[in-house]
Order: sequence, then structure tokens, then C-alpha cells
Amino acid sequence: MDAKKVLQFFRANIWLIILVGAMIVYPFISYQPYWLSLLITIFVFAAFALSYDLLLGFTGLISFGHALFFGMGAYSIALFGRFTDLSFGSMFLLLAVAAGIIALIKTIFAMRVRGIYFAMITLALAQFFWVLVMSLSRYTGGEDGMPRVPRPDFLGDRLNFYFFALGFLVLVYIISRRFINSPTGRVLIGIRENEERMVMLGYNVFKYKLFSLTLAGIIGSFSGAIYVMFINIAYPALLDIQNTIDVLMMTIVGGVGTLHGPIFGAALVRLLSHFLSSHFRQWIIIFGIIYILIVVFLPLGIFGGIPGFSRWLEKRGGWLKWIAQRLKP
Amino acid sequence: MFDTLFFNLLLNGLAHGMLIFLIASGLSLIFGLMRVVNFTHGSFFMFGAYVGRSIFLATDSFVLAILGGLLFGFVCGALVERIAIRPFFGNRVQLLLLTLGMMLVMNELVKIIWGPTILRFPRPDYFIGSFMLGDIILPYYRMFIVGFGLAVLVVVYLFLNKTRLGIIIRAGVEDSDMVQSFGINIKQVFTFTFALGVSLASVGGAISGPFLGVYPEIAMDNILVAIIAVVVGGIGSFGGSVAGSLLIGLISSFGGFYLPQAAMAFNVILMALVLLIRPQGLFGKGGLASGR
Repeated sequence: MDAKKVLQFFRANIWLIILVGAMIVYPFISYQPYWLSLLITIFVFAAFALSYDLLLGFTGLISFGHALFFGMGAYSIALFGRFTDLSFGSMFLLLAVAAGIIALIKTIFAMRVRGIYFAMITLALAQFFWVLVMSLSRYTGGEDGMPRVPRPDFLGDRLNFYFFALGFLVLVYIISRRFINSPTGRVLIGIRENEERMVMLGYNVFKYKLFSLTLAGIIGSFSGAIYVMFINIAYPALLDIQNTIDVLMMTIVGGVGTLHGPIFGAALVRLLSHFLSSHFRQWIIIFGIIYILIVVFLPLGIFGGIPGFSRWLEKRGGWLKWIAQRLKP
Repeated sequence: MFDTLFFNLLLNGLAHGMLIFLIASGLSLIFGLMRVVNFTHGSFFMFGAYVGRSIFLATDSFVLAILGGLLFGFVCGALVERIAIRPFFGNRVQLLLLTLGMMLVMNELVKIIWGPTILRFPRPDYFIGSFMLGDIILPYYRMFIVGFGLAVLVVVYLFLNKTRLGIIIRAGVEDSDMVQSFGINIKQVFTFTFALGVSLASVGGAISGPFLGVYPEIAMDNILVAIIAVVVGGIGSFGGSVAGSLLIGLISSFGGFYLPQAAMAFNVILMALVLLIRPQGLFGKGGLASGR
């Protein structure tokens, strides 16, 4: 790789590099376990929201049951840890296979029903697993959840976990970006825009939807697994509709159909809920109002609104123009 | 088989089914006519329960509580349609996300006004006690819910089939652009239908209070169940919402007694089966499920 290409790479990814760099340096500047924990949950939920955006923003599938993948990852690790002595590598491998099977089931439904019907079917599937977890309480602990989730030794240290979660998010981001910009990703966007036309053009829509759902499922279930390793308990709320609504909001608030939108959406939602919940008991109402305002006035989300914002900045000239040029996708 | 327990479960299931019907019928009409999934429907059910309870405690009149719930739902429904739904008409995803957000706000608002705990909605004196049929005990209040639901069912059925406005609504479900092109102001019909649907949910909440208790979670629980009932019955079909609701109510009642943990699973499996075998629902017309 020659110097010119390296420079080009740096230029194209300047925000990504600055942000990741800041996140890497951060714990060495101020090591506060409280903030590290908050950031770890943000990283995990950002990856989860990213996987949701692959479906909603890039394939055009409205899923109301994405928490199923998250909860499945969480409970798989907890159950494997309690009843088997598998290595972590094989746990995640089995988890990926399970996510693929669920994705296959969802794809079969997605081929038969669309729009709100698909949303309802995915919601129903997630509720079904929620019921399953609640009723098999002998194994899953029911409402009490499953404490003492295993984690690899090197993740016992919070700083290590921080870098692990950050690495996971960066990896997910890069994979998603490669995926979206690949020919396969382009076909998915075509399906989002006009499915009939893609069928007419001779694309096997089933295969592409399956691919997208499987990738989203694997990312979603892995983030669930990592989250549960961090908080050390798997509980039914990870599977329920509220978790799906949370991830839906992260995606919408940040900007649906962009890859960085869900990441910042996740950060914003987690931070807001964190600070609002310590000041107001009914903080969800404030959050709900913010969410409604965004849906009404910024339907493309905060980051989907950036092109308009950067055009506005560009007119100001000077250093604002410099920022505006770098904001362009 | 046909013992006291059976009849109790049957009555319980029918009463529950009627409450679901009061939510589902409005939900189904609104979706059929306007293609809006109104997530606030369950929240209006909940608000109806709170408003009805407040009126009942203040005036000691159950009739006023029912009328208050009905009026509250109608006014709020019309306002919500004019302020929040109409400006975004045609953008289905945005409307879906918007009603979802309104649902969250409403479900929290109720906790601020009335607190998060379960409130008791006392039964009016004349509904205390049970009807004895041999050795079968049938509580009056559940019989009242079934009767009330049946009355609403008949009234709405007659309205939809015998009045001009009802026929316009049904025609709108088929093709709202066509109705508009006949010179009928379909926007006003939308507002009316939305208000009607919401007032049905709200009055359902008011009469559910003494049966289920009054607490914030009834919003979320019932919207999910009502959506399942609508999908099973067939979106946009009034008969479908009746059948779907009663089916779900009975399954919840019997399933809930014999296999309490799996009651919700039964509903979900039923919905999955219906969507796989007959995506448009039991009574729905084809095309909706795959086209939208």
C-alpha cells in the first residue's frame, strides 16, 4: 500500500479514526469504572442497533422482534455456561448457527407476508421465546433470570472488557460497511426500494433476505451474549418488546439507513436514559417526547439530517466549511 | 366436561373476548380504512379505565362512567387524528413510529396522573353477586360485559351496514381514493372512524375496570392481544375482529387455566399458523398481507 492510498484512507475515515482513537485513549486519561461501564453498554447496544438498521434501513424489513436475537444470545451463553463445559469459541459458533436457524424461519415468513404483518410475526416469535423462557423456569430461572454467567478470564478486568466491546463494535461497523457497499448490499437496497423489480431482474430475493437476516441475527445475538457476560445475569426483559422498542428508537433517533446513525443513536439513548432516570422518576415521558419530535421534524434521524445541516454550514464559510466538507458521506 | 368450571371458563373467556373485541374492532377499522396501525389504541383502553373509575368514584354512577369513557375516547380520538395523524398521512412508517411514541408517552403520563400501582375500580352495587343456574355460578359483572359487548357489536354492525356513513366507511376500506372521487370528504370520514374506534377502546377500558383492575400495564398487554386478534381475524373485516377476539379470549381463558404459562404461546402459535396458511386472516380479503 503506497502512501497516497494510506492518506486517502485516513481522509475518508477521519471521523471514524478520531472517534476510535479518542475511545482508545480515554481510559488512560481518566479511569472511572462508572463511565467505563456506561461506555461498554453503549458499545454493545450500538452494535445491536447497527444490526437492526441492516434490516430496517437497508433491507426494508420492519421487525418488532429483534430482541429475540439479543435475548437468545444472552440466554445461550448463560445456559451453555451452566449445563455444558464448552469453550467460548464453540459457544459463539453454536450461537451463530442458532441465529441462522431463527433467521431462516423469519425469512420464510418474510417471503409470505410484508410490512406490518411481518412486524407482527416477528413480535409473535419473540413473545413466544419470552414465554418459553418464563415457563422453563427450572432451567432459566423464570422471572428471576440466570445469574453467574460465565466469561473468559481475561474479560474479568473491566479495562479489558472495555477494549473487547470497543473492538467488537468497530469490527461490526467495518463488516456492516463492507457488506452494504458490496454487490450483495446493493441488491438489498434494491429490495428495500422495489422488491418486485428485483424479482423481475432475476435476483433470488429469498437468498438475499436470508443473508441480511442471518448477518443481523448473528450480530444481534453476539451483542446479547457480550452484554450478558458484562452484566453477569440473563433476565427475561432482554427478550421482550421493550428491548425491541429501545433498539428501534436508537436506530430512528440516530438515523435509519445510515451506519453511523444507530451508533450515535445508541449513545444518545443510553446517556439520556441514564441521566434522565437519575433526575426524574417518569423520565420515559421526556424521552418519548424527544423521540416524537425527532420522528416529526427529523424523520431521517439526527444523522440522516446531516446533509441539510452541512449545506447550511458550507454557506457560513471559513472553518465551518472545513467541517461541512468532512461531514459529507 | 360440562361442569361449573367449564361454564366459568367459558364466561370468563367470552367476557375477555368482548373486551378484546372492543379494542380490536376499532383497530381493524382504522387500519382497514386508513392503513394506520394505531398503537395508542391500548393506551386509550387504559385511559378509559382510569377516566371511568374517576367518574364513577366522583358521581357514584356507573352509567355516567361508561358515557364519560365513550365521550373521552371520542374527543381524544378526533383530536389525535387531526393533530397527529392527518399531517403525516401517506407516510406509513412515520405514522407507525409516531403512534408508537405517543403510546410510550401516554403510558407514562398515566403514571404521573394516577400513580403506577393497581387501583381498585369497585363494582356498582347492582352487579355484585352471581347468577345461580343449578350449581353453576355465573358472576353478574362478567355477564354484563358479555351483554354490553354484544350490544356494541349489534349497534356497530347495524351502523356499518344500514347507515349511509357506515356504508361509506366500508367502501373506504375497499378503496378510499374511489370514495373520495365520488365527491365524499373522506378526510372527515377518517376523523370520525378514528374517533369511533378510539371511543370503543376507551369504553372497553371503562367497563374492564371492575373486572381486570386498573393499572398502567393493561395498555401494553391489551394492544398486543388485540393486534393478534385483528391479524387472526383479518385486517379491515368487522366480522373477522369479532371472531378473532372471541377466539383469543376463549383460548386465553381455557389455556390460561390448564397451562397458565403457555396461554400467550397459544395465541402466538395461532397467529403464526393463520399467517402461514391464510396470510390475509380468517375473514380478510386477499392482497393486503402481501401488498403492504
